[in-house]
Amino acid sequence: MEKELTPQQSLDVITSMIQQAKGNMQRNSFYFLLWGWTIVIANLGVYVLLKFTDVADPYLMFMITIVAAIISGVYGFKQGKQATVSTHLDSIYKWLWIGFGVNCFIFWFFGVKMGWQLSAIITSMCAVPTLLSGVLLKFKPLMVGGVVFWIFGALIFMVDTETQFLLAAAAVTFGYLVPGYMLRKSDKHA
Amino acid sequence: MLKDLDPLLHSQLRLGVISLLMSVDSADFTWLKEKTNSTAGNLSVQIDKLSEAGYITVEKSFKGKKPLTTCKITKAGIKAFEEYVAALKQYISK
Repeated sequence: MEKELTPQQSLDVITSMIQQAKGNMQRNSFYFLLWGWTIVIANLGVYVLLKFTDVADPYLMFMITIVAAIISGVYGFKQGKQATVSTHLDSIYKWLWIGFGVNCFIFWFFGVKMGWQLSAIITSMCAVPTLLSGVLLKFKPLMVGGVVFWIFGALIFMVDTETQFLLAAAAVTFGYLVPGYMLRKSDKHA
Repeated sequence: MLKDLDPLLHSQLRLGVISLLMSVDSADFTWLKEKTNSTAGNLSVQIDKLSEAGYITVEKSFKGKKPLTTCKITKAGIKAFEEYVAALKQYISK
Protein backbone atom coordinates (compact mmCIF):
# COMPACT_ATOMS: atom_id res chain seq x y z
CA MET A 1 0.00 0.00 0.00
CA GLU A 2 2.81 2.39 0.84
CA LYS A 3 4.82 3.63 -2.08
CA GLU A 4 8.53 4.39 -1.95
CA LEU A 5 9.21 8.08 -1.44
CA THR A 6 11.84 9.90 -3.46
CA PRO A 7 14.10 12.30 -1.52
CA GLN A 8 12.26 15.18 -3.11
CA GLN A 9 8.90 13.80 -1.97
CA SER A 10 10.28 13.32 1.54
CA LEU A 11 11.40 16.93 1.62
CA ASP A 12 7.99 18.02 0.35
CA VAL A 13 6.27 16.12 3.16
CA ILE A 14 8.52 17.71 5.79
CA THR A 15 8.12 21.24 4.42
CA SER A 16 4.38 21.02 4.01
CA MET A 17 3.89 19.59 7.53
CA ILE A 18 6.07 22.26 9.13
CA GLN A 19 4.04 24.81 7.19
CA GLN A 20 0.84 23.24 8.55
CA ALA A 21 2.06 23.42 12.14
CA LYS A 22 3.17 27.03 11.81
CA GLY A 23 1.16 29.88 13.23
CA ASN A 24 -0.81 27.63 15.51
CA MET A 25 -0.40 29.83 18.53
CA GLN A 26 -3.67 30.04 20.39
CA ARG A 27 -5.05 33.56 20.27
CA ASN A 28 -7.35 34.40 23.04
CA SER A 29 -8.77 37.74 24.09
CA PHE A 30 -10.54 36.29 27.14
CA TYR A 31 -7.82 37.06 29.70
CA PHE A 32 -7.24 40.59 28.46
CA LEU A 33 -10.93 41.38 28.77
CA LEU A 34 -11.37 39.62 32.13
CA TRP A 35 -8.33 41.28 33.71
CA GLY A 36 -8.90 44.56 31.92
CA TRP A 37 -12.37 44.96 33.40
CA THR A 38 -11.34 43.62 36.81
CA ILE A 39 -8.48 46.09 37.20
CA VAL A 40 -10.46 49.02 35.77
CA ILE A 41 -13.36 48.36 38.18
CA ALA A 42 -10.98 47.90 41.15
CA ASN A 43 -9.08 51.13 40.42
CA LEU A 44 -12.16 53.23 39.70
CA GLY A 45 -13.79 51.77 42.81
CA VAL A 46 -10.87 52.77 45.02
CA TYR A 47 -10.81 56.23 43.42
CA VAL A 48 -14.52 56.81 44.03
CA LEU A 49 -14.34 55.48 47.61
CA LEU A 50 -11.30 57.64 48.42
CA LYS A 51 -12.74 60.76 46.88
CA PHE A 52 -16.35 60.61 47.98
CA THR A 53 -16.61 58.40 51.06
CA ASP A 54 -14.95 57.74 54.42
CA VAL A 55 -14.70 54.00 53.95
CA ALA A 56 -11.95 52.68 56.23
CA ASP A 57 -10.19 50.49 53.72
CA PRO A 58 -11.11 51.26 50.10
CA TYR A 59 -8.17 49.12 48.92
CA LEU A 60 -10.24 46.04 49.68
CA MET A 61 -11.72 46.68 46.22
CA PHE A 62 -8.63 44.87 44.95
CA MET A 63 -9.94 41.68 46.48
CA ILE A 64 -11.94 41.24 43.26
CA THR A 65 -8.65 40.30 41.61
CA ILE A 66 -8.79 37.07 43.64
CA VAL A 67 -12.09 36.23 41.94
CA ALA A 68 -10.51 36.99 38.54
CA ALA A 69 -7.54 34.79 39.41
CA ILE A 70 -9.85 31.89 40.24
CA ILE A 71 -11.84 32.39 37.01
CA SER A 72 -8.54 32.51 35.06
CA GLY A 73 -7.33 29.31 36.64
CA VAL A 74 -10.56 27.40 35.96
CA TYR A 75 -10.78 28.75 32.39
CA GLY A 76 -7.12 27.96 31.69
CA PHE A 77 -7.51 24.43 33.00
CA LYS A 78 -10.57 23.82 30.80
CA GLN A 79 -8.88 25.33 27.75
CA GLY A 80 -5.77 23.25 28.33
CA LYS A 81 -7.88 20.12 28.29
CA GLN A 82 -9.54 21.14 25.05
CA ALA A 83 -6.51 22.37 23.13
CA THR A 84 -5.76 20.01 20.27
CA VAL A 85 -2.23 21.21 19.87
CA SER A 86 0.19 23.05 22.09
CA THR A 87 3.34 24.76 20.87
CA HIS A 88 6.43 25.91 22.70
CA LEU A 89 5.26 29.49 22.19
CA ASP A 90 2.00 28.68 23.99
CA SER A 91 4.03 27.57 27.02
CA ILE A 92 6.17 30.72 26.92
CA TYR A 93 3.04 32.84 26.70
CA LYS A 94 1.39 31.06 29.61
CA TRP A 95 4.42 31.23 31.94
CA LEU A 96 5.10 34.84 31.05
CA TRP A 97 1.73 35.80 32.51
CA ILE A 98 1.86 33.40 35.44
CA GLY A 99 5.29 34.84 36.28
CA PHE A 100 3.91 38.35 36.13
CA GLY A 101 1.01 37.32 38.38
CA VAL A 102 3.41 35.89 40.97
CA ASN A 103 5.44 39.12 40.91
CA CYS A 104 2.29 41.19 41.46
CA PHE A 105 1.38 39.05 44.44
CA ILE A 106 4.86 39.43 46.01
CA PHE A 107 4.82 43.20 45.50
CA TRP A 108 1.32 43.42 46.91
CA PHE A 109 2.32 41.38 49.97
CA PHE A 110 5.36 43.57 50.67
CA GLY A 111 3.67 46.76 49.47
CA VAL A 112 4.39 48.57 52.73
CA LYS A 113 8.14 48.20 52.16
CA MET A 114 7.81 49.96 48.81
CA GLY A 115 5.83 52.87 50.17
CA TRP A 116 2.72 51.46 48.48
CA GLN A 117 3.83 52.65 45.05
CA LEU A 118 2.09 49.54 43.78
CA SER A 119 0.09 51.10 40.96
CA ALA A 120 3.18 52.64 39.41
CA ILE A 121 5.33 49.54 39.82
CA ILE A 122 2.74 47.04 38.60
CA THR A 123 1.71 49.26 35.70
CA SER A 124 5.31 49.63 34.47
CA MET A 125 5.98 45.95 35.03
CA CYS A 126 2.88 45.03 33.06
CA ALA A 127 4.50 46.53 29.97
CA VAL A 128 6.80 43.53 29.52
CA PRO A 129 4.28 40.65 29.28
CA THR A 130 1.89 42.83 27.27
CA LEU A 131 4.56 43.86 24.77
CA LEU A 132 5.85 40.30 24.48
CA SER A 133 2.31 38.96 24.04
CA GLY A 134 2.02 41.32 21.09
CA VAL A 135 5.28 39.96 19.69
CA LEU A 136 4.28 36.31 20.24
CA LEU A 137 0.80 36.75 18.78
CA LYS A 138 2.15 39.05 16.04
CA PHE A 139 -0.45 41.57 17.09
CA LYS A 140 0.65 45.20 17.01
CA PRO A 141 -2.08 46.77 19.21
CA LEU A 142 -0.80 44.71 22.16
CA MET A 143 2.75 45.89 21.52
CA VAL A 144 1.45 49.45 21.59
CA GLY A 145 -0.43 48.49 24.79
CA GLY A 146 2.90 47.51 26.34
CA VAL A 147 4.37 50.92 25.55
CA VAL A 148 1.23 52.54 27.00
CA PHE A 149 1.93 50.76 30.31
CA TRP A 150 5.46 52.16 30.43
CA ILE A 151 4.23 55.69 29.82
CA PHE A 152 1.46 55.44 32.42
CA GLY A 153 3.80 53.69 34.87
CA ALA A 154 6.10 56.71 34.78
CA LEU A 155 3.18 59.15 34.99
CA ILE A 156 1.68 57.36 38.02
CA PHE A 157 4.93 57.89 39.97
CA MET A 158 4.45 61.63 39.50
CA VAL A 159 0.86 62.13 40.76
CA ASP A 160 -0.94 62.02 44.12
CA THR A 161 -2.45 58.81 45.52
CA GLU A 162 -6.03 59.44 44.39
CA THR A 163 -5.06 60.28 40.83
CA GLN A 164 -2.85 57.19 40.71
CA PHE A 165 -5.94 54.99 40.70
CA LEU A 166 -7.54 57.02 37.93
CA LEU A 167 -4.40 56.78 35.79
CA ALA A 168 -4.04 53.06 36.50
CA ALA A 169 -7.61 52.54 35.26
CA ALA A 170 -6.78 54.53 32.11
CA ALA A 171 -3.58 52.53 31.57
CA VAL A 172 -5.48 49.23 31.71
CA THR A 173 -8.20 50.60 29.41
CA PHE A 174 -5.66 51.46 26.70
CA GLY A 175 -3.19 48.69 27.47
CA TYR A 176 -5.56 45.71 27.85
CA LEU A 177 -9.16 46.50 26.97
CA VAL A 178 -8.67 48.30 23.66
CA PRO A 179 -6.16 45.74 22.28
CA GLY A 180 -8.26 42.93 23.86
CA TYR A 181 -11.38 43.96 21.97
CA MET A 182 -9.34 44.44 18.79
CA LEU A 183 -7.93 40.93 19.22
CA ARG A 184 -11.41 39.53 19.68
CA LYS A 185 -12.63 41.34 16.58
CA SER A 186 -9.67 40.19 14.47
CA ASP A 187 -10.23 36.57 15.56
CA LYS A 188 -13.87 36.67 14.58
CA HIS A 189 -12.86 37.75 11.09
CA ALA A 190 -10.08 35.20 10.81
CA MET B 1 18.26 2.87 -3.37
CA LEU B 2 17.82 5.13 -0.36
CA LYS B 3 18.93 2.36 1.98
CA ASP B 4 20.49 4.74 4.53
CA LEU B 5 17.16 6.33 5.24
CA ASP B 6 15.46 5.18 8.43
CA PRO B 7 12.65 2.92 7.16
CA LEU B 8 10.47 3.93 10.07
CA LEU B 9 10.49 7.52 8.93
CA HIS B 10 10.63 6.80 5.23
CA SER B 11 6.89 6.60 4.84
CA GLN B 12 4.65 9.48 3.88
CA LEU B 13 2.37 9.36 6.89
CA ARG B 14 4.94 8.55 9.58
CA LEU B 15 7.27 11.25 8.24
CA GLY B 16 4.32 13.64 8.23
CA VAL B 17 3.46 12.89 11.86
CA ILE B 18 7.08 13.26 13.01
CA SER B 19 7.49 16.54 11.09
CA LEU B 20 4.35 17.91 12.74
CA LEU B 21 5.44 16.81 16.20
CA MET B 22 8.87 18.40 15.63
CA SER B 23 7.12 21.76 15.34
CA VAL B 24 4.80 21.58 18.36
CA ASP B 25 5.03 20.52 22.02
CA SER B 26 2.13 18.12 21.82
CA ALA B 27 -0.77 17.38 19.52
CA ASP B 28 -3.87 15.25 19.72
CA PHE B 29 -4.94 12.52 17.34
CA THR B 30 -7.69 14.56 15.67
CA TRP B 31 -5.33 17.43 14.92
CA LEU B 32 -2.75 15.07 13.42
CA LYS B 33 -5.44 13.37 11.35
CA GLU B 34 -6.64 16.70 10.03
CA LYS B 35 -3.16 18.01 9.19
CA THR B 36 -1.93 14.81 7.54
CA ASN B 37 -5.21 14.31 5.76
CA SER B 38 -5.23 10.64 6.70
CA THR B 39 -7.82 8.11 7.83
CA ALA B 40 -8.17 7.31 11.53
CA GLY B 41 -7.34 3.64 10.97
CA ASN B 42 -4.15 4.23 9.04
CA LEU B 43 -2.98 7.02 11.34
CA SER B 44 -3.59 4.88 14.39
CA VAL B 45 -1.43 2.06 12.96
CA GLN B 46 1.42 4.44 12.07
CA ILE B 47 1.29 6.13 15.48
CA ASP B 48 1.59 2.73 17.14
CA LYS B 49 4.67 1.95 15.02
CA LEU B 50 6.32 5.26 15.95
CA SER B 51 5.44 4.75 19.58
CA GLU B 52 6.82 1.18 19.63
CA ALA B 53 10.08 2.49 18.16
CA GLY B 54 10.23 5.01 21.01
CA TYR B 55 10.07 7.97 18.63
CA ILE B 56 6.93 9.38 20.20
CA THR B 57 4.97 9.02 23.42
CA VAL B 58 1.25 8.48 23.36
CA GLU B 59 -0.91 9.44 26.28
CA LYS B 60 -4.55 8.45 26.44
CA SER B 61 -7.00 10.42 28.53
CA PHE B 62 -10.54 11.73 28.33
CA LYS B 63 -11.99 15.05 27.21
CA GLY B 64 -15.42 14.88 28.80
CA LYS B 65 -16.57 11.46 27.65
CA LYS B 66 -14.53 11.40 24.44
CA PRO B 67 -11.16 9.66 24.45
CA LEU B 68 -8.22 11.98 23.88
CA THR B 69 -4.92 10.73 22.48
CA THR B 70 -2.04 13.15 22.93
CA CYS B 71 1.23 12.57 21.08
CA LYS B 72 4.65 14.03 21.83
CA ILE B 73 7.99 13.50 20.13
CA THR B 74 10.77 11.95 22.26
CA LYS B 75 14.49 12.73 22.25
CA ALA B 76 15.05 9.53 20.24
CA GLY B 77 12.43 10.74 17.77
CA ILE B 78 14.12 14.13 17.36
CA LYS B 79 17.48 12.42 16.81
CA ALA B 80 15.99 10.01 14.25
CA PHE B 81 14.36 12.90 12.42
CA GLU B 82 17.60 14.89 12.33
CA GLU B 83 19.52 11.89 11.04
CA TYR B 84 16.85 11.28 8.44
CA VAL B 85 17.12 14.89 7.22
CA ALA B 86 20.94 14.66 7.17
CA ALA B 87 20.75 11.47 5.07
CA LEU B 88 18.23 13.12 2.80
CA LYS B 89 20.59 16.04 2.24
CA GLN B 90 23.27 13.63 1.02
CA TYR B 91 20.94 12.08 -1.52
CA ILE B 92 19.89 15.44 -2.80
CA SER B 93 23.42 16.79 -3.12
CA LYS B 94 24.52 13.68 -5.06
